[in-house]
Amino acid sequence: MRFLDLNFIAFGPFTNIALDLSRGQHGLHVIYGPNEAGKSAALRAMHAALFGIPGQTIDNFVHEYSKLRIGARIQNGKGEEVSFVRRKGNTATLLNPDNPQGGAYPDDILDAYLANVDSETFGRVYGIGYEELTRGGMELKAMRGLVGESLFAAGLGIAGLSKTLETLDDEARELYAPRRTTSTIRKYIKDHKQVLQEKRKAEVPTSRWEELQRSIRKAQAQRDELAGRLKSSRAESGRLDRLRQALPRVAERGQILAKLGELGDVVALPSSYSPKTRLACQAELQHAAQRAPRLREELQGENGVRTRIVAISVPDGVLEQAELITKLHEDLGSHLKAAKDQSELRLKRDTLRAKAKVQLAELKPELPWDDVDSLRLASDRKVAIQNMGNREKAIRERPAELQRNEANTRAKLSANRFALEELDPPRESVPLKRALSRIQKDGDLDRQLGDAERALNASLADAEQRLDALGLWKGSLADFERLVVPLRETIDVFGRDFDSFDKQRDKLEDRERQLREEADDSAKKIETLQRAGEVPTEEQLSQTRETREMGWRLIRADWLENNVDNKAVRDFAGDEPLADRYEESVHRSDEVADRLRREANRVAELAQHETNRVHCAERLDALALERESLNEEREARNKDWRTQWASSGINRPLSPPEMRAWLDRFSELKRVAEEARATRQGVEHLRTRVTANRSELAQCLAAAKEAEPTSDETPAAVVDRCLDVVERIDNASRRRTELENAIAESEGELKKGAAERSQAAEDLAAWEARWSAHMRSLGCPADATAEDANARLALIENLFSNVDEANREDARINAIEADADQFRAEVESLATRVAPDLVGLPAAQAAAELTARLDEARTAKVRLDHLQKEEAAKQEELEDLEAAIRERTEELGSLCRVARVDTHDMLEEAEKLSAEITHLRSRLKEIDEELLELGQGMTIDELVTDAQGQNADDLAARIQSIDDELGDLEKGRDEVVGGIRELENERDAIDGGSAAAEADEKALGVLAAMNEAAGRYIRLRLAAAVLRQRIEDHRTKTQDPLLSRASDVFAKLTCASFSGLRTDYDDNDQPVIVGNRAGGSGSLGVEAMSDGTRDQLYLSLRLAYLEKLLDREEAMPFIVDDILVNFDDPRAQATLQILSGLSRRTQVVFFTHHRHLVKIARDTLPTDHLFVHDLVPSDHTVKSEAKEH
Amino acid sequence: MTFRFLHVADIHLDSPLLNLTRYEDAPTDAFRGATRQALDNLVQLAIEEEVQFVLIAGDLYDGDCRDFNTPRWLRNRMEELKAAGARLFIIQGNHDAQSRMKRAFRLQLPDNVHLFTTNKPETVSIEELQVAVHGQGFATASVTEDLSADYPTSRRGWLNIGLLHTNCGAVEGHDNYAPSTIEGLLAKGYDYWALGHIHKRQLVHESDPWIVYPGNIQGRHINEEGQKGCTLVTVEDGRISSVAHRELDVVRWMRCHVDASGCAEPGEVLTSVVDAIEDSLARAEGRMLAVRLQVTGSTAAHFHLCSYAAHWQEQLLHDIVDRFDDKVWVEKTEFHTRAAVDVNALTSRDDALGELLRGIRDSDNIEATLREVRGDLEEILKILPTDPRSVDARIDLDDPDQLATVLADVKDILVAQLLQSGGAP
Repeated sequence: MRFLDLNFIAFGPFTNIALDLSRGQHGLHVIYGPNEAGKSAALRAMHAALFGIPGQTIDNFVHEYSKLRIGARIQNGKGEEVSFVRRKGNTATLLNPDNPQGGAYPDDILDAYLANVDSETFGRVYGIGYEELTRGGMELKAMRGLVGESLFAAGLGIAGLSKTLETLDDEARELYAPRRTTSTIRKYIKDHKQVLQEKRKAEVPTSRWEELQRSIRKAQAQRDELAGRLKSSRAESGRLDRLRQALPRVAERGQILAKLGELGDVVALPSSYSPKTRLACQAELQHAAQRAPRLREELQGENGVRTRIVAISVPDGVLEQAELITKLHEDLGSHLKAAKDQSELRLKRDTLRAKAKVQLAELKPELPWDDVDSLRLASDRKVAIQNMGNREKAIRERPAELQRNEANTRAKLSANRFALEELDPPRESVPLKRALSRIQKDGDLDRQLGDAERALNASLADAEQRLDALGLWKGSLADFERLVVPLRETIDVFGRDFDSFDKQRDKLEDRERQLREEADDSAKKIETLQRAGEVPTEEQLSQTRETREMGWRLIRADWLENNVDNKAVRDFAGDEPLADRYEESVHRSDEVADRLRREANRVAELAQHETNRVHCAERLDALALERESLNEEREARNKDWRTQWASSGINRPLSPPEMRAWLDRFSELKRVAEEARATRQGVEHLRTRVTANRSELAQCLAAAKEAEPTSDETPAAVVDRCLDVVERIDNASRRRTELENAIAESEGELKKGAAERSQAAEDLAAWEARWSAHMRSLGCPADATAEDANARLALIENLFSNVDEANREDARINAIEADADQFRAEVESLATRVAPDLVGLPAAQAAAELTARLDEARTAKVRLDHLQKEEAAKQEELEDLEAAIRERTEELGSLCRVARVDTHDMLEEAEKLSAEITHLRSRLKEIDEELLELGQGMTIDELVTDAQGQNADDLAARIQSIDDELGDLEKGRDEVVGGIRELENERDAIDGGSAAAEADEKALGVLAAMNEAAGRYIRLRLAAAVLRQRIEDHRTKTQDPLLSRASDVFAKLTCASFSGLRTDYDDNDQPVIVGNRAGGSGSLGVEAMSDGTRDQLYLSLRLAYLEKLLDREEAMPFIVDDILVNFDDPRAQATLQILSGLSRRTQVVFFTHHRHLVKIARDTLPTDHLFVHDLVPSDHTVKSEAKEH
Repeated sequence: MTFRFLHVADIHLDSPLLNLTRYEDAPTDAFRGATRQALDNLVQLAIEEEVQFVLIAGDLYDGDCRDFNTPRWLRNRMEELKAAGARLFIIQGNHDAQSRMKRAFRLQLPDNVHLFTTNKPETVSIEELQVAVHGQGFATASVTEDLSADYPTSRRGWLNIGLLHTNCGAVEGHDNYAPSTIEGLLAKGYDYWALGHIHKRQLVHESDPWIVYPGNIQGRHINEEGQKGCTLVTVEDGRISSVAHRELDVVRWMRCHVDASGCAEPGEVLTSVVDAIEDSLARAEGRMLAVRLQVTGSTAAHFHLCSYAAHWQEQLLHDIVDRFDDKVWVEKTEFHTRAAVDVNALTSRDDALGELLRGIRDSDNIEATLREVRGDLEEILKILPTDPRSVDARIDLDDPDQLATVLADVKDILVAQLLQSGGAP
């Protein structure tokens, strides 16, 4: 196949770019596109033209997906041609270019051109690019030039074979490698081992449990035995210890008893006796005896208190007036200050009066000073004059302002009246609004109607479809609705009847089968019995007996009657002698009789089977009759069944279950038909509503003098227009109301303005009259201004301020004078009463003297009071001392009586003896109590006896030895108890835990994972092995022809640096490809080749492979994408020549973006092979040209 | 008088759930101790139904059990039944006889339990119920004579129950221990034969007498699919009036088939699988699910699934854990999908790829291939630990059937790898 024309109508960056690839036999077409010219898009377009545009293409950045188009004209080996346009899509993507609207070509139209090559193969085998070339070179290196792999890689056109092997090997290695400890499987093995260890650790064998139980029991016995020994040792230790403690006490007790004996009848003082009381009494008596004589001297002696009291005198009169004297002393200060203030006040009063007189002279000179008060103004009058002055300006300007307001109002009024006349006549919007509101409540009737109509159509279609599918009955839907069919219950009755027939028939057949089997069985058994040996019968017996009788009769006749019937004898005995024959017959009949008896069971069995067989046969006949009558009944019922359906026009009803299903379909269809009828009514109702609404709106519009709805106006449009009309009417009516209100307001204002103006004139006249009156009274001219009036008012006020202050000073002077008189009178009166010698002295001096005398009298009085108190205290103390001496003497006397002594000096000795005896007795009691406690039930005497003869040191030694023994026992017991606890803990830990079972389960889980991994490992290893074998097979098959062709190509491509290729063997004896150096200078392995040379090796193999393929298959164009980028010029030239050679056999399309490669091609190749095309999408043209020479 | 009793068999206490591969976040905790949980359910049922006694028809223990904790735990359950007033009648099965727990078992029996002798049949009479229980346990792991032959004939006027561990009627695929016949059992004239040994529930004979295998109480591997439990028997006026199955299992085993046809990519396949599991879970009646996934159908995701099996397996398990938390454990995933592309067309092409694919397709001489790697494979098989209980264990290199399966897988892997890495244009 080859391309004749290509047109990138809309693809990638291209719009209508055409390429003519028809020249040459097949031609080497070099397509030059500079960078960004869309070379790779063009490559994709060629592929897409043949195999479709991929779903996720990136070539939609100029044209949308749906617009993508590639045109092509191609030719196959037989010379057939086809033109087509490829669009993007899943099916029908091939369009006829001559008739783009006329539908698509069939999808398989290209099959005759593609020679079974699919998209993937085309790309893989018939395309090579720069990237693939370098990848191939690297792949060859990775394969170390192994022949099989290399040939295969070139043949596949992929560079992934080594990768595949590597993937398989890697995954396998990941799972397991002999010396790799971290592999998955090794890890599983380790885990498994670990889990098994866990399991074994958790397992408790039964023997362990039993051993524990035994050990516990044994340890418990040991513990009990130790406990017994501990108890008895502790008791002995206790006894000895008590004895040891008793020893010192017994000794002390003996000493105390001896002392008590010595003391004899000493009195023990009672508890009421107190030595403290005795000591206190003696001390107090001694003190009193020293103190009393001194006190008496202090009272009555020469310097005694009483002598000093008599020496003091106190003046009584002065002390009695002490309060009054003190007050006068206090008033003296203020009296002296007032006399000084009085003269200052007089000076101030006189100054103020002089100022006032001057002011009066200024105001009203003619007025005498004493009448000055007539000038005084009442305060309300002053305020009235000031207020009038303030209002003057307003009241004078008011009339002019009112006149201006009136002119404004008149202008506004006339403007509004004009606007009102301009308005349209009023219209009514209410009827239209009501109609609209009603209609809007109905909702979108148009849509409802549309929906209902569609539903109706769907219902009808559904009904028709169901009617077609109903079966058994044909007719129209209308006929169907009238169709009457049998009831479901009727069908069920028939169904049950037929079932019952079937069941009966089955039963009969079962029975028949059984009987037949039974009969066969009997027959078989009979046969078996008979085959086992003849079975004797009664019949046989009677026969043999008859024969015997016959023989006997013949013998008897011969023997007794001598009458031989020879014929009968011959019949009976044949040629044998009669006697033998008879004997034999006797034997036979006996034998039959014997056998009948002996084989009675067999005989009976045979008889029973015979009877059974006959019986079965009879029953079978009866069953056959029964079945026949059943069939007849069934047929009759079947006829009834058909009759049931005949009236419904169904002549051949199916079985009842089927008819029940049919009836279901029938009912469903009935329901659908009814639904359709209901829907139809709905549709009609809606239509009526739509019409009614339209005519109502039309009426309303006419009433509002608007155009009536036209026929091409939709209901919605009419409603919208009505809404507009309503809005217009409402706006106009609102405007009218506003204007009318404004006019009425202006008229009211004019009326009110006239009244205000006359009022203002009156106010002005009244003000002027009152103002002139006031001015006159102030002595100002009648037309004086407000400022004049205010100045005059201030002057008057100032005058009266001075007058009033002078009067106040006068009053204060008079008050001071009165106070001085009072003071003088009081001083004189007091002096007359207490110190007449002071009368006549100035008041201030007399008052001072009185104060001095009062102080003197007070001092004397204080000293007298003090001495009197001292006297009383001393007298009291003296009396107390005398009483104490009496009492203490008495008390000591009574103590002497208690202690049975004569004087209180002897009391101290008596107390000492008493204390000693009391102490001894109490200690004895203590010891006795301690001994009783230590004795633990022994009496004191017993204990004393026991203790006698004991030695404290011996006892301590014995106790020590028992305690040591106890320590050992306790330690032993604790160890045993601890042991028991440990054993019990271990036993109790075996509580039915599931750790072992869980570990077991876990181990199996690990094992499962491991087996899975091992399975995968085995598969991977086998897969790699299979693949390697296949590669080896391929090598053996293809090596020679392919390598020899590749060798030629390689020599040319490398410009004879290499003379060719050959196979050699590597260190592992594997065949590898090596290059022969030119001139026989040895060979070079693939790994040692330069990158470029290796690329050329790969290209050689690819081309060799391609040529081999062309031998067998229909040719496809070979698409080459810029593979010469890294070739030097001579090798590029060589490559182009080889490609040119290839183009004799198939079309070669060579894409490049290197201008100099185009030049090399032009310089190298003949014209009739090379065709250069410039790919320039910007100006929408491609220059196709032949080489020019 | 009306009373009830339970018939249970093949408890295999503490035997593990088999072949549950551990993976990340696998619901190990939830599935732990399934046989114990099932036995707990039995005790609960016995208490709720106020049964008079429980019959255990052998194989209470698993043969491999060697941990004394197992009978200890069991003893506590028996004590619970004792507290509820229920008696237990137990015969030893082949596993019990093989178990090292025989002695431990007897050590741990409370007095409400009767363990039948093993040297001859024994009859226990329950006077107050007028019930006679006849039974004989296995003395050794392999009893080959028909034990039922020596069982006494029925006691007249009493309800007669035969307790027997047996392969009745020589069922295929089970060890033919203590082989008995239906006729032989019928001849004894008992009312109820409580059998054990076959793990699948089975009514061998319905009424007069009932001959019943209740099946085991908890499935333990994929070949013990479906519901598991015990049989509840009601006796009215000396006659058996009803025989009902009651479920006890906590983990249900299921095979889950998923048709991945039409799935365009592995993600969609995974979604189908998860949906299918959801359906299965709905059928498991609230129990946990141990599931074997079998994915079939032709899908464009086939190559991906084959080439990166480990990856998709991991992804799938992750999705399942995510969706079902600890309700589902995947026992195994088998991807048996087919490619959506026409491999046959590629195979028939006369180019290198076609030749390679043909070569792989026709690689039937696995022996030759095996020779290449046999040493390595045997080495690994040798070091792998084994356990006789493992299900579907490892490959036997000498078993031609297994090798055939492996070879088919190997071909799938290769085709997938080649077409996966094969360059598109």
